[in-house]
Amino acid sequence: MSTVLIDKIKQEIAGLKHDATPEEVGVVSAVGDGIAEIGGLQTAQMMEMVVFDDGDGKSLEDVIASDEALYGLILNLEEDAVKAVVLGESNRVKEGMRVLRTNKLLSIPVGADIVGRVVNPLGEVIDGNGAIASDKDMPIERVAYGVMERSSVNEPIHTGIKSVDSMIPIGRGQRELIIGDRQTGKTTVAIDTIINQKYEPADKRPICIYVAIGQKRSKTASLMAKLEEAGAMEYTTIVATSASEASPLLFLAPFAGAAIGEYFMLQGKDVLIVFDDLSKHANAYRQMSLLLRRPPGREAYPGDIFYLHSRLLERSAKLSEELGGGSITALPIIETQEGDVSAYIPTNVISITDGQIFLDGELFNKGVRPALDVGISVSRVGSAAQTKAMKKVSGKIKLELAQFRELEAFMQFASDLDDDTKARIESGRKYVELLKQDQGSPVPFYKQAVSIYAANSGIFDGAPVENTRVIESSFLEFVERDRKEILATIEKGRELTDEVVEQLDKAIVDYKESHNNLFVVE
Amino acid sequence: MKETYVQAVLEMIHEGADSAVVLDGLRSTLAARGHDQLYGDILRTVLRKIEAEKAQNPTVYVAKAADMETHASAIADALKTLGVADGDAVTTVDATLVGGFVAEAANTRIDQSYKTKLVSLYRSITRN
Repeated sequence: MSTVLIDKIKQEIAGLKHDATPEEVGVVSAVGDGIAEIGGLQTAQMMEMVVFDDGDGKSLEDVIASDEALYGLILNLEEDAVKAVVLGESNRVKEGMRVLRTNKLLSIPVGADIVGRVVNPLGEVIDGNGAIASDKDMPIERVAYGVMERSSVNEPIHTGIKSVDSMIPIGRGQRELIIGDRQTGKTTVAIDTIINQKYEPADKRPICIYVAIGQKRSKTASLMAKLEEAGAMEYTTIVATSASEASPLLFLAPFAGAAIGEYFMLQGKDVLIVFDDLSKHANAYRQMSLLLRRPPGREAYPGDIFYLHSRLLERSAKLSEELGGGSITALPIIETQEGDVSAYIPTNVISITDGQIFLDGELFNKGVRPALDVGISVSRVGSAAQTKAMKKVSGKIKLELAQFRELEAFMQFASDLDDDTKARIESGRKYVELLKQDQGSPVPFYKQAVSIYAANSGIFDGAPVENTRVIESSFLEFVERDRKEILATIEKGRELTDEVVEQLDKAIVDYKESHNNLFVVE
Repeated sequence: MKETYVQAVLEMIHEGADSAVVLDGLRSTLAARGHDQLYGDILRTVLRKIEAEKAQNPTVYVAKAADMETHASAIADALKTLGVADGDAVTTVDATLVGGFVAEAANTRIDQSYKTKLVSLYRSITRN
């Protein structure tokens, strides 16, 4: 046996407690569907963790050979018993089994090493790369920070998605909902946002947390591979629960993510957290509540479903300077059915969040990706945090797209339209093309500002619509190669100064002269 | 209504009535009064209350009878902490404890068994 192991065992033995403190013991009187009814725990608290003593009557060898300790979470305090959800294999719980109080509200161990790892909602590592050294236990549930402890959202979080960063800007500490039908690119928007954080300077880069709630394991695995490939896992933690896991674990997953986020926020760091998705979370909570025999309300959801999501999302905040100035930006995802945003859970979450990014299935099928519906997408607080550079260029794009949407219906009568209307439609189509982006290819804000400025300055004038994206990418290459100082100045100063504007105007003229083959209409 | 039936059944059992006779009588009474549906619920509550009463009984578990003497002073201290008077506790031998003792009374327990210590040690070592 290695000396390291011997030392470790010695340390553990030295640290063993021999205190004869009485523990409160209850007895399981009924169990089923992952819910255990426990008698005898008269002073147990709501959200307290309990341990099921499944070693009773078993030999030492059998207990050691069996799995880890089995925990439960008390969620109902009733007249003569308490009800706890089993956080693990409920078939290990038997009637008559002893249950011990831990006197601890559910919390998870967190440490700096959790970044880059995959954990379950109980903070246990599930990526097979060894344990995490934790330095603090963070409570899963806690009251959100009050008004006086917060400051206003004043710093942007760039998604790398042109349409979002220009028209629906998100600030650090904001809660921006991503909503849409299945297969419309909701997760892609969130993942691209995480990937885009690699362009942020290391001291400003937020810690990213992706919470997979009841997702397919294959989806989580491929997503992790994508993040690893993009070099984004270095600053990302995944809290994973799969569809096959018990509903209490799915219910806990976003709260665990928020607890991890708060650990970093309290150190003055910025955090970006994605809840994918809260529709499945609501379903898991409904299932758990029905099993706990709580009264069902609308669509059989329990009466506190709104409070469930509001207390979760309220934990996103931009803290005041006195508290370190850290922040949690939340990107909750909601899946709609047939685009119905007026359903129960979508309306709840829309009203809780500070805006929404609506992804439209029809646009997606037309090839407009990200399929963002600019008309009903909104950011209520983000514009205050937008960089000056983006603010300067985004005004025109909003107006152009609004006019285009109004005229879009007339596109089929193209031959009967006057020249001005035709020109507006043409310009709108070019903007739509400009805002298209491939998945996994977020664009840093300084490049976005250059692209959009160039579009506003008429770089696409005279070019066929099909060439829009080619012109955009080749112009960015041209600027990157021959006018590097423009990008560097915008990245550093975060604004389009008169000097930069002058340089950009010249670059556009030079580019058009040297690439006139792209401006020929065939 | 349920509580009244439960109370009556418990009192009869405590008075030493045969439990089979009590349950038969309960079923007939419920049927006569049109309260059949309460039968299962009443039984469950009665069982729970009996279990709870059992849990109140002070018990000391040891791995072997000789451990009662080996750990006599620790057991006495533990029972005192649990508020149990000398001689009130029942001793039960549970060989799976390996050594040490477990004292239980009124839904509280003091676990000083070697089994619990060893399992806790094993789990903390293998976890890290």
